[in-house]
Amino acid sequence: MKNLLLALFCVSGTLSFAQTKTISGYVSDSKTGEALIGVNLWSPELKLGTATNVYGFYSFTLPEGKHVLRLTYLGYANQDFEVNLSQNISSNFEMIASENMLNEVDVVASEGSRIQEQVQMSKIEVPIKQLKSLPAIFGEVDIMKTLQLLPGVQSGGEGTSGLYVRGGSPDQNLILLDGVPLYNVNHLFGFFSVFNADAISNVSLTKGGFPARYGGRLSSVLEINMKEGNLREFHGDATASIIASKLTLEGPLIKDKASFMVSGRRTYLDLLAKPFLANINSQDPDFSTSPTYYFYDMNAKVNYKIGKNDRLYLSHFQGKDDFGVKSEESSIQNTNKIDFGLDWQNSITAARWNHQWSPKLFSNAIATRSLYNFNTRIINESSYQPNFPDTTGQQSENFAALYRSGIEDYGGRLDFDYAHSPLHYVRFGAGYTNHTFSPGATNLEFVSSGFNLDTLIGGADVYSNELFAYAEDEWTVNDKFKINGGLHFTTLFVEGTTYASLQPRFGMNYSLPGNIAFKASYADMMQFVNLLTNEGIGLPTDLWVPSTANIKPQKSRQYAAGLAKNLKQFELSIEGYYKEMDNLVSFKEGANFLFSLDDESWEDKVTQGSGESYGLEFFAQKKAGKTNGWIGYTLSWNFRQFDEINGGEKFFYTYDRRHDFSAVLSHDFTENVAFSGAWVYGTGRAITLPEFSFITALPNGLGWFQGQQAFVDRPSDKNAYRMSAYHRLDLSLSFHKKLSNYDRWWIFSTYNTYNHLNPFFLDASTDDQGNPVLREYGLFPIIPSIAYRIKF
Amino acid sequence: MKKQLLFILPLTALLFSCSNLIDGVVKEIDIPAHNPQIAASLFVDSKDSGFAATISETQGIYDTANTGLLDSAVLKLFRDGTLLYSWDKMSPFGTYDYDFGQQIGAIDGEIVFEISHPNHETVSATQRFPEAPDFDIELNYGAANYYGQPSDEIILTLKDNPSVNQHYLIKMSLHYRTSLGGPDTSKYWQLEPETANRNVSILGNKGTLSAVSEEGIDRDIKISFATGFNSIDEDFLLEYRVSISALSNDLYAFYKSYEALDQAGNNPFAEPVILFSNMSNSIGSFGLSTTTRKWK
Repeated sequence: MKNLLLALFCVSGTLSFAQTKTISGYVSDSKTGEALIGVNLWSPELKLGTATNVYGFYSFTLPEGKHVLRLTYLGYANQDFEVNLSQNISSNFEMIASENMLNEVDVVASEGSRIQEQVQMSKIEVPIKQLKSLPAIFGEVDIMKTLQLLPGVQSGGEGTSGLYVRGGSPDQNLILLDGVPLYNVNHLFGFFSVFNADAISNVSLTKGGFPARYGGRLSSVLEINMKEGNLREFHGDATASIIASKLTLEGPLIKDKASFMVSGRRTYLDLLAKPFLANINSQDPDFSTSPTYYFYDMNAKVNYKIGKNDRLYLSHFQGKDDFGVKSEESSIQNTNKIDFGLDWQNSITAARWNHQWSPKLFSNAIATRSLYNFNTRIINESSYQPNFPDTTGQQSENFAALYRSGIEDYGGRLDFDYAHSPLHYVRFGAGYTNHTFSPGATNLEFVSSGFNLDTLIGGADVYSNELFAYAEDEWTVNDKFKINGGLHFTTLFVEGTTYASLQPRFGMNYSLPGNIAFKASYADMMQFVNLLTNEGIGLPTDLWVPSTANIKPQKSRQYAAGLAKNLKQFELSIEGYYKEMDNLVSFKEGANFLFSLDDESWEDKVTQGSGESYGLEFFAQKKAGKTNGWIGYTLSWNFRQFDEINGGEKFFYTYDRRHDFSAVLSHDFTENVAFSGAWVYGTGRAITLPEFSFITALPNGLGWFQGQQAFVDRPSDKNAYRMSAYHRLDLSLSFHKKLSNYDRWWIFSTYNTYNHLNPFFLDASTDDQGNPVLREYGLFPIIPSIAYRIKF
Repeated sequence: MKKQLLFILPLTALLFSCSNLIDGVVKEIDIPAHNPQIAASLFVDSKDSGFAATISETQGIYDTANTGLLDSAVLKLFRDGTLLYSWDKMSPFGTYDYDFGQQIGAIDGEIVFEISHPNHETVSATQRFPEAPDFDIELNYGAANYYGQPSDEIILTLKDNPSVNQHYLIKMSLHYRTSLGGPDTSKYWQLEPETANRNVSILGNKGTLSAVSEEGIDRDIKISFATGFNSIDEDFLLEYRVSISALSNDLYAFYKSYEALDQAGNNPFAEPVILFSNMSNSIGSFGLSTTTRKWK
């Protein structure tokens, strides 16, 4: 590799500069003062550029002298300015948003910001404006469901929020909310994600070609940033939909110095259901039931500019789902109360400090806490009077099973951006996380006359410490060739065992004739956390478990190559990838985690194996303008192999999807009427079906006698069958009106507009005549919805 | 016109596609066809003096036709290509039995079990008898603690044979007499060892599966446990009997998958289990074991 780079360096010729100076500073929105992420700063003369980081900071080193520089950012008017770099300069810029984006000329990507000029491949950014304009189930815009429409990304099934990226599983996605890993992103059993689009400023998904600064997961990095809050004016945004309402408030605490953003959302299914339940319960005086379900989430952020070189940010997210059913049945002699419930909650907190050490050196220090808890309860209280009507001798029985699992992280990291020269942009940093895993414990209590049981089954906490360090350099070798190379080192200390890994990362961009970029990348990844999940049911019983002395860390190697080009207003890319994965974790055959009361530890119920996925992705995206959207297509294969599953034979992963197509379109008819639609098609999910039965002999042991036989049902080979193909059309129409003090929107949308049955699960049973039948059950028929939004 | 189309098209799609909504969100799909195959199984231990094979025909889960045990099969056992035994009669109990009156022993060489039937292609599986188990028993009277009471302790040491996959089925029992004189009044009590060793699976009071050397990983395994009995306190004869069977790799895989099947039961949340099969081109299992018994 070293020789290859040297050869390329010599053959291609290199750019070099004698005396250089640096211009640095922040770029923000002219109206709100909020930092703009990814603004391109470009020198047309030298054909060199840089971009603002996630804090809006840039540092651009150029040869001494006069330069014309251009600021470009999607949805904002371009700005050209002249600068005389006789010394290092600090300069902050404000960009003006082109609110309506009706002028098509504005949305043609400028030099330096075009996909064909970036080294990074396999990264997709969806503008938040575009994201919010797409149709939504029950009127709730969902970031995760929109990401499922991108090539290389698949959903777990109808209505679910999990992401399956390039053959990976949901636990292989590093989901960072303001830089903090978030473990569970599901509300309402996965039908909604926890991300409230009103509180989000930026979303980007990296599927491969991971730069060295990323680590800890195999398949993707999803970075979501909360809004910082308007530094100049107080504003609000409120939406009421069929099942939930949300409110976002933002404004200055100290004008141009400190701001806040707070956003909350809550469902009201429980409140709506109350009158109906009251009616049901009034019909039978001996029986009452009260099912309840709600979720809420809350985002809050404060930022403070301490001085010219320092900024502080404090972010917090909290979300909870609570589902329960309480019922009571009573007669003169007996009373029976049952309380069943599930609840799960997430919370993350981050404190960040940006500091600019010099025009070339920028740092960010972050301290984080992330918590995820899942609890289940089954409580049964019964009493009876054996000598009725004599009330003496009343007897009672109480049973309680309380299951809990969770994960809690405390961490810190320090990242540096160093703009060494016009040709080298260096990033380096290190971090530490302390994990506490509570991998599932069931507390059983049983109290009856003369008998008392109180025991804890399974689930001792596991503690681990994770460290990482990285360094990467984005190097412009010449005007045709750029590379990003780096190393990521990570190590885990757990149960007296140490795992360590040095992971090379490499990405390149070579400009071919016709302004077509050839891009290639390689990434070696390792992760120390695993999600045990039952593929069949999709309940939030997912169990986060660590790598341990017995369970080795998951590893992957991903190779990708492709072509990219900007064609007028479109970004076009075609990418092929090949990914190998080792030490994947899966439940063993026969293992059951849910309500399992045996004393086997989770480690005894899992097995490790390997995976392989490869495919081709095509993506054409238009990010802004009156008409925008994208078309994505993925052709892929995805396999797993475990010695203890499927007789050791390789099998299709359940989310193997040969064809995956999506078309997304938004169109503004006028300033006040907007339409959007999305159509998605995917090959059916791979499933295992009961297939045949036979009679087997049993060995003469384990209490069996010679000649003893057993009738055995044998399922098909693992995932040998397919559910029907998935396809769906969603449409949305919104009407906007500007009123004196506020703007308002009516948003009408339909989910699954042509009411196609998209299978959620399969069931084998018999029909009315007793003939066996296989049935596919779907979840959602056509769902029309309406939402009302105001912004002030 | 453009605006009108915008409303008319989705509305038409909506109205003309609501049949599923009326029928509920469910639809029937084609049942996959199943071609019946021979399912043959035979397990032989070195201490067996006869065979009892089971030959059945697979039946699709959704088939209404009732098939099951398969008559008219011809069964053969070869050693290194030489025919050892051939038999073709199904007993009233549904097994193909062959009695040769003495323990078969751990025969050297490659053992092939072949089944032919007029309606099916001939199927077969190949195995070797594993080497006899090499193990030590240490018995310490009253040396352990069992729920606060003194108890005998048994320490079993299974010795590694480097680079050979070694899997064992261990059965232990306590045999005792209710009186010291007179006829043998032996009774026995199956023992349930407890161990935290991840390479040992406890199967209740039925036995213990142990993987000593596996996939190139060599290890000795020591299982020590309190038996729950204290010989010092007893006034009648106690005898601990240990029977260890070395299992062929395939027989071990069969035990493990049957254990998983048993564990899963009818639990809809359990992962599906495919019972181990090593019959070429068909379904079924052929496994061999070599047993050694010791007592103290």
